Amino acid sequence: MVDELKILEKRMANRYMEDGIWDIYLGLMAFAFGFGIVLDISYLAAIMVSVGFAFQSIAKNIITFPRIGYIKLRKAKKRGMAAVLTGVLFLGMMIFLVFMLGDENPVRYFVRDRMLFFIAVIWGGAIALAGLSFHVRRYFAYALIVFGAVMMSEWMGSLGLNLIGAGLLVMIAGLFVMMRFIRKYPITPQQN
Amino acid sequence: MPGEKPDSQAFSLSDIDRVIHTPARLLIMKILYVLDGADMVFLKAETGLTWGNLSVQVKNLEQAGYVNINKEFVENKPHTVVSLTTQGRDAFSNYRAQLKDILR
Repeated sequence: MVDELKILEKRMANRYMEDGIWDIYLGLMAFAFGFGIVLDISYLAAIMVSVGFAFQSIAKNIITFPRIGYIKLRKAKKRGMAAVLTGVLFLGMMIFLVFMLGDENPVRYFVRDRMLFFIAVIWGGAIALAGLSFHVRRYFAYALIVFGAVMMSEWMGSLGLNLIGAGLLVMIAGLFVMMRFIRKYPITPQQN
Repeated sequence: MPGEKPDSQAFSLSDIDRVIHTPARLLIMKILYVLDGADMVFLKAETGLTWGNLSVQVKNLEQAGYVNINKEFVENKPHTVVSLTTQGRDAFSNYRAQLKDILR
């Protein structure tokens, strides 16, 4: 019965990933970074990502909660999610620290020469990790798309344009997921 | 006599928590046990109960002291969040242990 309860807890938490809102936000992040690189405006990505974060919160209130309701996850589950985010931040910090090393440091040259690979691994890895943590298989496909888009810029296109393409692809997939969610869970009149 | 249950099991059966031991309330308790709280919309979708039945069962659980019902307004809409009390959590744990004991 303990295992059954764990499965139930996972199912409850994963229900909130069915709405496609995080998919769209993920696509928007890739799109925003690509757009920022193409236009050479570094803060544009930060603005779009912040606006997107506010959008996903509003969208949850308008689309998700009236359809499937609202739950408060147990602290242990929240801690698991926080661990994933911390892991991603830690990886980002490590890369930043490598660039803070002195000019003569061989680690810096090693990372710089393989910069695209490291970006692709960190970004794709973070998305795959999120998929693993939330048990959402389509995130592995998104991880591959973003990884492929970054690595592809080594041979064709540019990093910015490839990220825009990957972002659009993920956003379109997210929209389809959202449409399926809206059809699957119609709003029923509430009685409180 | 063959097939006769031992005395300890007979005692467990009579001792079983009748508040939890109905399908609808058991389902509600099971859902709330793995969460810190859920609103009525979520409970309705998960249990498949009607609004009326769900309200009655949640009220019964509240009267037994097993759940807390918090009514709040979110964007001018009433929002009812139900959560297990410590007593409810303990009662569900005991119920699970008793069932395991009986079915062993």
